[in-house]
Amino acid sequence: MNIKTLKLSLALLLMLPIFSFGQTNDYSMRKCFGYQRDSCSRSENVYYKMTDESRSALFVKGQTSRVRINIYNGRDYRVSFCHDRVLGEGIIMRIIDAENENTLYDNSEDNFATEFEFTVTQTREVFVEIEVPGNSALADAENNSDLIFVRKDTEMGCVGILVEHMITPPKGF
Amino acid sequence: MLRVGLSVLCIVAALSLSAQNCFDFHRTNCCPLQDNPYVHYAVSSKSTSFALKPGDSRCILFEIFSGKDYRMTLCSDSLYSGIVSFQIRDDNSVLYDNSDEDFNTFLEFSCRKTTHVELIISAPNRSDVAPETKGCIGLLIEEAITPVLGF
Repeated sequence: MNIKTLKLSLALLLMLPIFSFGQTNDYSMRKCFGYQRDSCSRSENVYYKMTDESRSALFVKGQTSRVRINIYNGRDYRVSFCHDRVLGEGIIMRIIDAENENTLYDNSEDNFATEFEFTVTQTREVFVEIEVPGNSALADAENNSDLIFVRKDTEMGCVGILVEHMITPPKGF
Repeated sequence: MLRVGLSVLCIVAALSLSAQNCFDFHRTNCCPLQDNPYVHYAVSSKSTSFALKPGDSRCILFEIFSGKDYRMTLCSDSLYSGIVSFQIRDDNSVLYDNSDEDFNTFLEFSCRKTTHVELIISAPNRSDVAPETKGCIGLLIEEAITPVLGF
């Protein structure tokens, strides 16, 4: 290897971090990526494992959004959520049967608890719905297609849903 | 011949210097009032700076695109002391008028429908300055892709 090749290789090696930064600095991506993993506290029970159905998203006040997850018979689940402080308190989490839209759990009847643990006896598809209380022009404009532009709410924040599961431990002898 | 050439050169230089009085005024003077950490704005090439006499207006044709967020910041030099009128109009109506909001200089919005709009900037009348006096006004336009909300 001559000196010229060595210099060129060295220069390319030094420029690599710049290129890699440029590639990861993609602002079109969602800004809350990985929020549930980094910000939501996990169960102290070491048998719980985080599922791939955990999600995070950007919310404004007054917005409601839901995510569909599968829950399987013979497993225990812990569904919890966390959020940026800017969204305020009193965030509602509901677990809704995807088949008949029956509400199976509503944390507003449980002192706005941020986590819920349960055992599944029938495999089901459910929605985990998050409702951020309050008003915002952006949330109000969701159903109005006549608007040309909507004033921006600067109070945006991330919400993460953490879904953990484990095999239901046998009880008794 | 040389004298004529030199004279023309001087006139052109003087004209270009006077035109550049407000050059990049928006870049150096317009600071967005609020920062949104979830949206990364890029400066639009339609951002502009110009000199206006008191009572004059400038109309900028602009197209806003559905699925984009815009942030517009208006700034002016001390001649107009922040009392610059700013309107956004489409073919039929006035979409925004900052005189309804105490001559607000900052507007952030999400576009829902691609539309041609006119950005009309008007300098206030000033009776206490010479009619030919001009002041600098800058309009910083920033745009970003509207972030996805919800899951």
